[in-house]
Amino acid sequence: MSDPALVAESLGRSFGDTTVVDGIDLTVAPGEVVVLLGPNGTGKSVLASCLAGGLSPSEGSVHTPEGEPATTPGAMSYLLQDGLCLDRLTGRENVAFYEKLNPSFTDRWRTLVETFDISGQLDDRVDRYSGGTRRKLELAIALSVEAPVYVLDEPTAALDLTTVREVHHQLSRLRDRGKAVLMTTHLPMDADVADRIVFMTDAGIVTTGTPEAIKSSVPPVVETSLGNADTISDDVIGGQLFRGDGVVRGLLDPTTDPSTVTDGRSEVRVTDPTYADVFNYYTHLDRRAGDEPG
Amino acid sequence: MTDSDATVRLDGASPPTETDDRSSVGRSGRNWVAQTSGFTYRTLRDVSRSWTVLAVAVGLPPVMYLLVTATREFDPTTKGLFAVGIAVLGAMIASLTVFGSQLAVDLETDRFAAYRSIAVRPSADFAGRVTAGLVVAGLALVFGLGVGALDGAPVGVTGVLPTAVSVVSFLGLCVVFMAVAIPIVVAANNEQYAQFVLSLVAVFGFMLTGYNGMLPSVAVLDGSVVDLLPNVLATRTIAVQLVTSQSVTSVGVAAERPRLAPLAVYSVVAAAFGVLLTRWQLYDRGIGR
Repeated sequence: MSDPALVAESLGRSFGDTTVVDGIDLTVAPGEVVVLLGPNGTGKSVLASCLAGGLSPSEGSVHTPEGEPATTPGAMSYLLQDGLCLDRLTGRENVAFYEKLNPSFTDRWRTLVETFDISGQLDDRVDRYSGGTRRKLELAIALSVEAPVYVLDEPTAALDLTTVREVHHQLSRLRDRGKAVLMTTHLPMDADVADRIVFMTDAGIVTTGTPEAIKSSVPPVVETSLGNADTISDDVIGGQLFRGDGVVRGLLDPTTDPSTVTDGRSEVRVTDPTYADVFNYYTHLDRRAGDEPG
Repeated sequence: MTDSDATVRLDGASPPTETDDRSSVGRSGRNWVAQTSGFTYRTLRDVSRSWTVLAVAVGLPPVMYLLVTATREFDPTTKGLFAVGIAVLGAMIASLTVFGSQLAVDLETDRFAAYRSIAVRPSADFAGRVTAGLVVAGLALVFGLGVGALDGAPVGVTGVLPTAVSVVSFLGLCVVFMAVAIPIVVAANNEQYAQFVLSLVAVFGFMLTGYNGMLPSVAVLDGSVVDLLPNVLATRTIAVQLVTSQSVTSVGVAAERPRLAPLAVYSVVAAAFGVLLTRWQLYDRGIGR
């Protein structure tokens, strides 16, 4: 594998006496999409900002082949969460601003605004945009930068399903062109685009690996209808069930034989975990910090 | 358009040569100019849609002037001095609020994290915002003087040199006030609050110094202090150049004194201070934001 495009070593960031991230080791290789997945409030945005050079770490270091981030103009594209655009300017004026600031800005934004279907609103003020339209504009700005590294903080937040798929497609294209991409998210479906998933909770990075490895690290899922929830609560970890579309699901207790779970119970089935199950497992059930499946 | 068609301006990692060094300096300079113009253009666009900033900076001082001159009798020279003092007040408010309001918005939204990641040069940020502030401050000054002239105050342009001296004084004054805005905005960390406080700073500066030193008899501060303040130095310099009344030279405030030199020192120190403050308080990633 080629040298990493982005490396964080023992990275920590505190605000006063409050430690938000601590002891983070992370790399992103050229041509790799890393999805930093985790629930709200676990420090993903602070970590992303440190990786992009927006914040300086309190401890540890971040470096790229060019040196520390934010020392070379145009060496990094950073999508700031809900903060890139000025409200009183139009979309086009905001694009023009970042075009002047960033020497690596390209005219790719013209294609991206067509792709995201916001070209008709470019001359409207941003304070009249919906949350989704604003996010699309910010994405068009961030993805118009020709940089070796992209750090995208919640790029799919507030977007509809179709646009989320389009964003995944755009990130895949960056990967195909050898770019290093790190995106944060709390949406399990964003794992679809990942070459590697890094799962982060209050305890820090609790697991990292390929999507297949991450899924295989999670026990099978027991599923039944809402009305039968009580019948499986003894078979799942901690008795904890999670609602799905008309069903409840839980992660199979390691001490339970899967074949006995469905015996005589036609409405109960055991299935492979989805990314939503992976999310529930590492957010609510697993406390095995440092468990790395590969 | 394909991705590979998109314009790329990043350079490769070939070993540096002397030619590379020169082109690197040139590229760095072009980036600085582009970033500066980006902040200038954006600030002017933003301010043109912010009626509160325009009304307070450009509209309020002439209204104050008209209210005072409508209710009090002034001799022509005093009226001219008052017109200049009020016009400079407009420039002071514009300098503080135009520079400060967008700075406050950027701070509120933590947009400096994005600027840092782009490696925006703090001096380009400062220079861009200052340039935009100068444009609006110039508008406020000209508008204030124009209202005074239309009201019969003896103010006007009498030659190239008086105009040049007035412009230099104006520039020095504005740079000082914009540098002052930075710590206030950082402390306020809110656009509305910052605008309010910045306007108060300008108005208090005007009142405490006896209408920017034009009517020292109403100054709250001691005369020896008033004489040294940058708004007073600038306003008196401009007044001497632009008040066309024959008797202006007999007025105490217009007496021949070295004003441009101390004002130049103020402005150079303020410019350096402004760039350093921009770096330390806005771009220094070590601060506990």
